[in-house]
Amino acid sequence: MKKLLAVLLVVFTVYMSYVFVGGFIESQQPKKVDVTVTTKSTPTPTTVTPATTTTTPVSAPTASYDVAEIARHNVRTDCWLLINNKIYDVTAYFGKHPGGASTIAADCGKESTVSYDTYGSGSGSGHSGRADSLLAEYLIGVLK
Amino acid sequence: MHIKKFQGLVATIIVGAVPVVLWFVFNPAAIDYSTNIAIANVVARVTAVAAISLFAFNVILSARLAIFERLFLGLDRTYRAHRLIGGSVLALLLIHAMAVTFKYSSSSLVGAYEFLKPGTNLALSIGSIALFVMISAVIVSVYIKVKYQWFVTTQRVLGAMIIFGTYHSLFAKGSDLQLNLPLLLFLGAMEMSAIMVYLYRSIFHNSFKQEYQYTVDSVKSDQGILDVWLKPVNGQISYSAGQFAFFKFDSQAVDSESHPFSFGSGSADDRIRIVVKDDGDYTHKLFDIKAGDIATVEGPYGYFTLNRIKSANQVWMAGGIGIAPFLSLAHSLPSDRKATLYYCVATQAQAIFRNELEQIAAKSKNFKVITICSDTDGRINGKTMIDKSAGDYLLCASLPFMQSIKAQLIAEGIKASNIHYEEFGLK
Repeated sequence: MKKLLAVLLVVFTVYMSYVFVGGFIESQQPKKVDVTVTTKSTPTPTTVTPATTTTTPVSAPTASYDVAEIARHNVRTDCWLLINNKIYDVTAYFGKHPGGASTIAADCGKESTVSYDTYGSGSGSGHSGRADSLLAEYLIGVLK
Repeated sequence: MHIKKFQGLVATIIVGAVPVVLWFVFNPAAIDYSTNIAIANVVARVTAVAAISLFAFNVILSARLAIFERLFLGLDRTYRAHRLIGGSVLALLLIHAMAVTFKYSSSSLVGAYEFLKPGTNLALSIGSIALFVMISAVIVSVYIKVKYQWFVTTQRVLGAMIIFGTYHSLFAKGSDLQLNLPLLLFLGAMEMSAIMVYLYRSIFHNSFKQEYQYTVDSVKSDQGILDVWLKPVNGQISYSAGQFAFFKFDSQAVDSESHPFSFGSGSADDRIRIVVKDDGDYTHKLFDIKAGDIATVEGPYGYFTLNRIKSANQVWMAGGIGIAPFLSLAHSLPSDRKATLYYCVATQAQAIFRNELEQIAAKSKNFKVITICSDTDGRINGKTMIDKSAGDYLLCASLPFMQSIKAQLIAEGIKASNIHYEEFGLK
């Protein structure tokens, strides 16, 4: 048990140091974002490149959708969320959500503001500022 | 007896498994193995619920409650289980922390860093502090040889982390306890019980066993062994020969630490006796206690008794200071029991209880003592102890010595279930 625990402690220390130090160094580098937002009337998933290219202002999406249209995109392979009157196509994000895919899947095609703001519990605080920035990359339109 | 041997282990497994089962049964939507992040999510949550449940159980075990002494068949085994469970809890928490971090780091190192950095979230910060403190305390307890008082302090600090862990489990974002009522009820009960036990024992310094006041009546030392007799002040402790108690001396000679010592007196004696070897900081200072010093005695504990080990004919083996419980057993041997005691010491001079034991043997047909001095007789071998008519073998010596003799006895055909010993150090 002592040896196993020692090995685990070493692995833990190395891994967490790598994440912490690596993440800190990366966070100090200038951010370069290239975001393409499509505004066609036929909805398609937003294309997002992770933060590695030059920063350009993101233009607000001009597409608008009503609740009935949003409700049609209610499965994992085609999932829209309505949060604070904005529509997000999060289909491409399913496998990356730290809270698991099922927590998003439950809200596909629905008004999801409360879920987003409370981590699904209905009360308390919600996602971080970083999560808000990440969510913005999936914006495809506003509520009609 | 075979089934009883495993009841402590079974109870421990149940404590760890119940929250995991509750998580799977009442959380089917969260069971997702489609991506690495999804798998990490399951691992993170399952390890969390198992760890907090076992941690709470471990805090409760440290309280020396009689029910757990019965469950694990002795306080020494309870403490051994406590050490193993503690190591397992830490292992689960390390895996939990790495799995949670992985969920963020596999998308973005920056995201993981921002998630981990202190100050972003209170429940997360408290959980991180608790983990850091636990890692430090385990390193001190397990890998570094520290003074007993430091060891006790680290154990107290570790116990306090149940409060931090409870806060984290209840208020961490996305906590399963907020979403799963059966899990909240089970883990909530475990955590609250552990916190109450911790506060009762560690903060209010109360014991779940009755404590007795004794005063030192006589002190004698010879060959590095201290022989102390104590007389009761306010009531006599009732114990069985072979048991031990925790003694805390109120004396200028020693710190007021509580240490376990076997009773060396017969169970019918008005006074109690302990025999102590000088082999550490505390025991060295104990040699300066004087008649009139007060001792608080908490107990009794232990399963090394003739009530539990019931065969009519037994073989006993004592190594060095391991003679202590056998002094009590020899003085208390009932007329319907027979015992042969092998008293093993390094030299003749160290056999300081030989005369006392030979006097008991002279008065009793059913007790025999054989003194073995390794400098002249060589080391005892399990083979020489074999008595075909003996039902049980009782051993008390250093752990490596006992394990060696046990292996030799087993090799000679003695069943492991008929060989009994109690570990001398509870650390």
